[in-house]
Amino acid sequence: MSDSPARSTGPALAEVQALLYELITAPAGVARGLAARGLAPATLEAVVMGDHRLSATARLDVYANMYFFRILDVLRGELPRVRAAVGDDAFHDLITDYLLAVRPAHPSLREVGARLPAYLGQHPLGLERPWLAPLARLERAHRELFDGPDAEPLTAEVVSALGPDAFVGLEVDLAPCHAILEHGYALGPVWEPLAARQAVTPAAGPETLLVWRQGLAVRHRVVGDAAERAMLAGLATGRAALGSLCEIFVAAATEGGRGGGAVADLAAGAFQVLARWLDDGLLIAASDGPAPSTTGDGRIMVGPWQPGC
Amino acid sequence: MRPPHYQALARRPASEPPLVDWVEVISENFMVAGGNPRAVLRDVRARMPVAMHGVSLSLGSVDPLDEAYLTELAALAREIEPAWISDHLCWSSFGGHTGHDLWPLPFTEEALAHVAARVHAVQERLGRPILVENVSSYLRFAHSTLAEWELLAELTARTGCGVLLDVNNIYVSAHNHGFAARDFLDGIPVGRVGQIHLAGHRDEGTHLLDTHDHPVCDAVWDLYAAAVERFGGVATTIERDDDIPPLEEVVAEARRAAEVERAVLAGRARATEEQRRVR
Repeated sequence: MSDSPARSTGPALAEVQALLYELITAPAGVARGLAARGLAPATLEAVVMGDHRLSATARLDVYANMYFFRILDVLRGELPRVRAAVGDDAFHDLITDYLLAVRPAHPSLREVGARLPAYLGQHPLGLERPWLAPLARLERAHRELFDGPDAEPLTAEVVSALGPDAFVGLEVDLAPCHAILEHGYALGPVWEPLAARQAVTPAAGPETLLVWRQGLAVRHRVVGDAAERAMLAGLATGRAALGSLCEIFVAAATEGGRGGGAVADLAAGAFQVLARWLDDGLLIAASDGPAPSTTGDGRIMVGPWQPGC
Repeated sequence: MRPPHYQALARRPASEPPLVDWVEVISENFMVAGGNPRAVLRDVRARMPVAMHGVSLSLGSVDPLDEAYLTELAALAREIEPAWISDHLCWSSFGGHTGHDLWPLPFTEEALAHVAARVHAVQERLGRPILVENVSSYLRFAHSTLAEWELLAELTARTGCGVLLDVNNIYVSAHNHGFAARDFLDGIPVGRVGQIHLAGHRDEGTHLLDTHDHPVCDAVWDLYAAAVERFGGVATTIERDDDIPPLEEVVAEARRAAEVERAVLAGRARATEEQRRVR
C-alpha cells in the first residue's frame, strides 16, 4: 500500500450497501428493481463498473440470482412434500413471496425457513389448501429436531428396577427434542406418498402428531389414543410423576362414563403407553431446568430448546 | 468436512489411520444444540485438529456486529478448541437482514478502516487473531482506490489478523476483473498466510462462477504452486460444497496439493543450495 492512499470520492459504504441490498433482493431482478425505484441504470453504473462482457446490471444480477436460488435450494430440501404438493413453479413463486414478506434475519441458513409454515397459512396457496401449512410445520419440525438438544433418556431397565413407591413418585419430563403438532388434517397417511411425489390430499379431521428425535433419527407418529394424548398434555405443562401420568390415563380412559375395563386393564394400558415412550427414548428424569413453553402455532415445546421462529 | 463425509471421518475405526490430518468445518453448521452434527464434530475433534470457517461474520457490513452470533461462535470455539477461526472479507447483512452470500466490498480507505475496527472487535471477543479470506467477486466498484490485496495486506498490518488465501477465488476474480493473479500473490505479505483454500469453479462464458462443485482446474493448481513458492508450506484445504464426491476423491486432491507443495519446496531448497554454493 502506498504511504498516502487516494481518498475515494465515491458514495459512503452505507449508501453502497443500501443500494446493493435493495437491488440484490428485488424480486424480479436488478433491472426491474432499478425501475421500481425510479432509478436509471446510470445510477448503478456510477457505483458498479461494467465492461464489454457484463454490464453493471448483469454483474449485480449474478448476486441477485445467487441470493434467491441458494435459499430456494435450501427450502426445496427442507420442504420436499410441500414442493411436491404444489409443484415446482408454485413453490418457486411461494418462496419469492416469502422472501419479500419475511426477509432472512438469522445468520444461519437453517433458520431461513423457520417462519414459512406460519406464512404459508396466510398465503393464497395455503388458504386454498389449508393442510399445506400444517404439512410445512411437520417438515420443518423434522428439520429443527434433527439438530435439537441432546438428552439422556430414561430406559425401561432403570424404570422397571424401581420399587412401587419409587415408580409412582418418579418425576419425568418429555425429552426436549420433541414437538407435538395438532391440526385438522390426517397428515400421517400422506407423509410417504407425498415424499414419492404422489398426488394425494389428506383427509380432513383432527390429528395429533408426536415428532421426536431418538438417537440421531427424527421420527413421528400419530397419537390416536385419547388417553395417551391426555398424558402428553399432562407433561406439556411441566414435569409429572409417573403415578400422576397413570391417573391421567385412567381419568381419560373412563371419561364420560366409558367403562375403561377393570382396574388391572387400566393399569396395563397406562404401563403400555409408558413402556412405548421409554422404548422411543421420549422420557427423561425431571430436572430443575427452564419452564416449558408453547409456541402458539400448534407446537408445544418442553425444555430448553426453542424452535427458530 | 461436509455431511456426505461425516460417516467416513467420524465413525472410522480407531485402528485405521485417519484419512486426513485435519479438517475445516463451516462454523454455522455446528452452531446448533445437538444431534448428528455436534456428535460428529465431537468425534472428529477427538481424532484430529479442526479449523472453524465461518460465513456469517459479515465483517464489512455497516450493521452492528451480531452479538448473539459472536456469543455462539465463541462458545463453539471454547468447546472445540479449533486450530484457528476464519471468515471472509465481505459483507452479507444489511438493515438487520442476511443475504447468506459473500458480497464484495469497495476497496477504499473507509472500508478498510471499518473492517479493521470490526476485526479488532471480533479478535478481542474470541481472544485470538482470526484469518480473513479473500472472496470471489463478479463486480468492481468505480470508487475503489486500493487493490484488493492492498486492502488485505493493510488489514493484517492494522489488526494482526492472518490471511486465508483462497487461490481459486484469486483466479476467478482475476479473470472476472482483468488483473494479474500473480500481482495478488505478490501483494500479500509473506508470513501472514495461515491457510490456503483450493476449489473448483464454473465457466459461465461471460464470467467465472465460484461454485465449489468441480475439481480444482490446472490453472488454479499452477497458481497454487506459485503461492507455495511465495508463502512456503501452508495448511491447504480442498473445498467442495456442491456435487460433493466421495471422500476419497477429495482426499486425492488434498494429496495432490501436498505433492505440489513438496515439489515446490524441494525445488526452492535446491535453488537455495545452489545459490549458497555459487557464493
